[in-house]
Amino acid sequence: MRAEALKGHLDLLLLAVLEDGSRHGYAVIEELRRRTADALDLPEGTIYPALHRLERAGLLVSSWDESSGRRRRLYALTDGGSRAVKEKRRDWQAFAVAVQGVLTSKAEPWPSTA
Amino acid sequence: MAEHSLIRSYLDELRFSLGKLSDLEDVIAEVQDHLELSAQAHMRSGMNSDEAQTHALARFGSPALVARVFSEEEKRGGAVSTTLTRRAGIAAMVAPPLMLGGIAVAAASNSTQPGSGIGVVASLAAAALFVFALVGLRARHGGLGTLGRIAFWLAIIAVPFSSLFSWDGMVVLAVLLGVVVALFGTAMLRAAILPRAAAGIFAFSWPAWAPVAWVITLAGDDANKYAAFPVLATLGALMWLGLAMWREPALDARPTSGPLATA
Repeated sequence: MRAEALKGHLDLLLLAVLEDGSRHGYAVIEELRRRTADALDLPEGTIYPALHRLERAGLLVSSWDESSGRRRRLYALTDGGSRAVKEKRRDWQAFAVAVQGVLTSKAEPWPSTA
Repeated sequence: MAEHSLIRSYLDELRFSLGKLSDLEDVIAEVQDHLELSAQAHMRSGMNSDEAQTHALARFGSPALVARVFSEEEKRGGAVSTTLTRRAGIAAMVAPPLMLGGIAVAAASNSTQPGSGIGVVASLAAAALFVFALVGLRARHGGLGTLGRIAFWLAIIAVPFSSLFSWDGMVVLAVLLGVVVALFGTAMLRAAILPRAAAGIFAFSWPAWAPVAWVITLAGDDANKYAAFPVLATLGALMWLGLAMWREPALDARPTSGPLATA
């Protein structure tokens, strides 16, 4: 799959990764990389503005953890973010089924007019 | 925890590139944590410290690139389409005809007829919808900065403030609302998220009327005859902006039927 196609769905991918629980940015990026089998080839630093934007939109919430000796920012889904992921997953699955149907079906011949 | 020198240099360069980002120290702390974790992972795979830092920095992106993306997002703020912004889009489309209808009904009725009360209620409802439309426009643009904040609060106080001026209150209200749309529209033009033509007409129809009216008066005509045009242009532009907001798919939950269902 071309990486450009994944980039267009970055917001959804980031939200989906956080469904399992809160993570810091590095963990989010590594999980994205693992799930996409390294297909998502973006400069890692460009994902942080997307995370901040999703937080400003109310779909994520962040908190700071200093237990490791460094300031570490953790992200988690809000209720709105959870709804967004569920909704978009349904949309994507419907889209995938429709496209798969077109790509794998044999064309029906036009009825004969003879 | 020991800090790596290459990462430290990168952070210094990133801090310089980010300039006056509003949450600069938080961003630097977050980036430092990421780069340290990345470098440690590379070292666990067998690289030495300099190699690990170099790989971590290469995968992260240059300071100029990262700063540019942060800066672009800072300007846009949390600029996403949500159910709130789509509802505000409907409010923006309904408020102008409701306001015009309310004013027409109130003007056609005398104070003792029910139509007068209906007209006043419709106009007040339209004013509330107008404020909600501005809330949605501001949310869609992720805040609109200082201009948006000033415009928003002016819109809130415009009606109660102008009511203090008795018969001159309508003039005061017209001036205040003219300032509101000019500030709001200018901020929207700068953000360039919704149609720029709509934002431009919204911003400048009303404020542009004063010099146009002056020219018409100089030409010997009665400018009041044409006063409806800038008002209608502003209201039409608001409906255009509302339509643009309503048509965007919301990132959060949406109903499956009704006017809030995604097109």
